[in-house]
Amino acid sequence: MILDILVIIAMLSGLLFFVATTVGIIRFPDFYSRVHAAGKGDTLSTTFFLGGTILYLLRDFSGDSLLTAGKLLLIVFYIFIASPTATHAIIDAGYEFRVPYWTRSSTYKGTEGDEENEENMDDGFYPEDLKG
Amino acid sequence: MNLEPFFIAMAVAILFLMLCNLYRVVAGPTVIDRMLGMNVIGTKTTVLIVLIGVIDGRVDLFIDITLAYALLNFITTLAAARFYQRLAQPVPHEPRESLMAPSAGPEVEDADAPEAAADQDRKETP
Repeated sequence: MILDILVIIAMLSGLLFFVATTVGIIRFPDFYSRVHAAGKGDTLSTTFFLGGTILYLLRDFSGDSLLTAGKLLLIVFYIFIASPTATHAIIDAGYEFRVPYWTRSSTYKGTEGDEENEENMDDGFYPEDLKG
Repeated sequence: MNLEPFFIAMAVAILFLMLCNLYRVVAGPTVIDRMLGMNVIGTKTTVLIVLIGVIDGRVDLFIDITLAYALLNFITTLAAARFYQRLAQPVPHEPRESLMAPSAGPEVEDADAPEAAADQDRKETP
């Protein structure tokens, strides 16, 4: 009974984090902020979901369910390492791809005739630009 | 307590949110955005497979599929990210002198002299 409530709490918090991830991926204005939303929420919500499944499997305690729970624990461990690594690879590729990022002036891109800000509008600022 | 309806509701909710993430894959302004959306969808697919196994009552069968899918998703994302990273830099990296061992100095210079001249030419042509 208590284990069931724990399963429900874990799954609902995982769903909450996944909703936050989805809202971030859809609504954020910028590639980098989208990666920020996806990299954290995705890992944590997956951990919560699989942790709830592990608790559910441990409800009827036997050798088989223990083996399955161990495998699930391995998957959780793997995702906890692999998902931030994949996120890092994606953001590295995006940085080298020079994906333009959100600035305050890029919200005003639609207004024409704003000549004093025009040179700031096209793309973002990168550390390589400082080297001259 | 019978948790099966709860698991079915969770699976449907995850599926719906995955469809919402598919918007970013379809409408993403750059390729990297699409990759990001597909990474999230793939990670959630592992959860979905485990939930299907729990609903079906055969988790021990589905767990191996989940493991394989997680590995495959990670490798796919890494390969695509590396591909677009290499695509972004048309000129290959030159070795930085500060990173080279000082003992390898004169030999490497002699051996690389024609190459360095060719490098110079290639730089000046554009």
